[in-house]
Amino acid sequence: MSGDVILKVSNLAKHFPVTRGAIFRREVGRLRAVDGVSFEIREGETLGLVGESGCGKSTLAKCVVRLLEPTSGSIIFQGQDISKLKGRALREMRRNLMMIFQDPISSLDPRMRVNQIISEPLDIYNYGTAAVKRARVHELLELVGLRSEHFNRFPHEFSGGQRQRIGIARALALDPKMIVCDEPVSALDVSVQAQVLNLLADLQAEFGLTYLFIAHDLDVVRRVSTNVQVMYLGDVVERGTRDELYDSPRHPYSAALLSARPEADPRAARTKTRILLEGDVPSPLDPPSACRFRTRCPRAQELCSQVTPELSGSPETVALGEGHEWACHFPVAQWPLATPEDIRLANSSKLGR
Amino acid sequence: MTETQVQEATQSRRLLARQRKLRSFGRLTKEFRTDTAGVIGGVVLLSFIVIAIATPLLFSSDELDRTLQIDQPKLASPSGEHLLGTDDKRRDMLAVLLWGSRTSLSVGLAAAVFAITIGALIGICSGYFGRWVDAVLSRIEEWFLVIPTLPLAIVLVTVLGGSLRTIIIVIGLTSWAGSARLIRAQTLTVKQRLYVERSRGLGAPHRHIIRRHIFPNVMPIILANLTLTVPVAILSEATLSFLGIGSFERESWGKTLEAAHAASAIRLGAWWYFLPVGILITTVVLSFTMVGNAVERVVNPKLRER
Repeated sequence: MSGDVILKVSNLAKHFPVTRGAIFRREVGRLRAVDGVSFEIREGETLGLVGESGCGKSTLAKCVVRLLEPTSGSIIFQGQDISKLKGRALREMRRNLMMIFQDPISSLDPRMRVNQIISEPLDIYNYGTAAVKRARVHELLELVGLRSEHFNRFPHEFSGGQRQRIGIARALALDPKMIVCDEPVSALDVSVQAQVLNLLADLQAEFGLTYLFIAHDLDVVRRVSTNVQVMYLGDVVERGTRDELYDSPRHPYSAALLSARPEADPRAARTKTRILLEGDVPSPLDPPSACRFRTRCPRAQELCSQVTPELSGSPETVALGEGHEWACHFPVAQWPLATPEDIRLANSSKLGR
Repeated sequence: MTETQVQEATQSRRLLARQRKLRSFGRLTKEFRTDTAGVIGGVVLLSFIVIAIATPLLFSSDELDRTLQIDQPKLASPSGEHLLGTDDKRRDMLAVLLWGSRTSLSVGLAAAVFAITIGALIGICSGYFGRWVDAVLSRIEEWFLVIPTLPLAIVLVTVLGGSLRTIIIVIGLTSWAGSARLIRAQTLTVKQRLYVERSRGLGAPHRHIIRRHIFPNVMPIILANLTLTVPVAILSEATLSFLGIGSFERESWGKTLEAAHAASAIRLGAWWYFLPVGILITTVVLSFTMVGNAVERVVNPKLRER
């Protein structure tokens, strides 16, 4: 089902300068929110992007839709480098690249009615006469499972799931090729999450949409994604197809994330072992040298602070032609970790820090 | 659908929209009615406005012409014939006051609208565009904030000539800066909202964002500010007239005070010459302020908890 590469991001970085002084500004530091990220998405695919809070997921998404100016790197969308587009060309690009936000209430203007909200993109791009636009809004309402009588209501009259549906209808208004979903369901109840995810999947099947899907909920990402990418402190630490990554995570951080996932079955939960990471995520103002995860990694060794591990697969995965890659000198070999003994084995390469 | 069905559908939709508007208006007025001071101010203000509008029916403008009043007593104290006495030009004080209220209220309103228009324009531009636009506009604002208003107004009126229009312009020019500040601040917070960012992500031009998102969301602040600027403008008008640099065309409250001063009304004990005017000015200014505070509380839910 994978088609041509629709989005190719190379070495994308977004640094926020930290300045001091009102008149004579001087830069006292740089917050490296996203630091040299590269990836590709093929048409019709969903790339899931996971990572804990503050790892640069949302910054990456905003750079991709050009809500933030990337510091360096290139973003090739439909064969065109959009990282430096301006004016009319930027507007034309935006028609095809929409975004859905996390918080469905604050992303809807409280003083606008649903029809105004959904037809806003139509107004901006002069879609047609008022009657044509109205017909399109009704069509979109139906498409996302809202009713025509919702046409004239205000956002505060809706439930969370319905608001997110409004956000989706609005993103679909101009028939985009790709939608960046920034935590689209994390503000919703679990049952409503499922409905919205199903809606997104249906729309993808119907219109051949491509998604960049950001979430911190691993199960949500597993459900929607074709490929998954794990971020830590502004960088990608592991990526692969969904099943490769969930069935045999190789990077210790991915393994820790997966082991921390809540288990629905209480019996399984009792025997489940977790890899507990020590400490907090280091400050992106001053990330650790070489491997950024080494300060919290149970497997870290001397080498990790000297040589930056590159994203690459093992000889076997490369030979199999799999796209599974990780950035670690001492990847996890065995998964799942069933007993504490396994964890000790998995961490056995740890020779002291 | 047939033609008539479509028409019916549109009609019912319009009806629904109208009902909803009425309901939300009802909610706001209900909120307003819980504010006793605001209600009192509103009632007082409303009666002032009604009387000002009806003045020509009560007193003909001939009453103001001193050449037609030679048969009247000079500086007479209140009586059945002249409820508030007469002034040194033998005119009926009540007529003078009511005709003056027309000028004072309309000049106050017009000047406030003018001031808020400038303030909103500059505040929104400065808050929305930021950077050097904000820097330049903010410096201009500060200049108008720190400069002593009265001397500036006196100079401006002297230069531009003392017509009613120049008074309005001068008051507007000297009192927009404060509201520009407030509107700028509100614009800054609205600008950061997610829906503005999303609109930007859609490729919306600045004009669209300002008109569709920023303006409707700062409108409540603009309204509250307007009602709070009117009393300031009325006072300014009275001040300028009292100083003798107001409009020479029409009677106004400030001018009455000035005339009372010139006629040494206090020394002569003609309290009806200056007291009612003073009370009127104070009452109108106070009720405008009370209404303004109530409006501000209604449109700004954050103030309600206090």
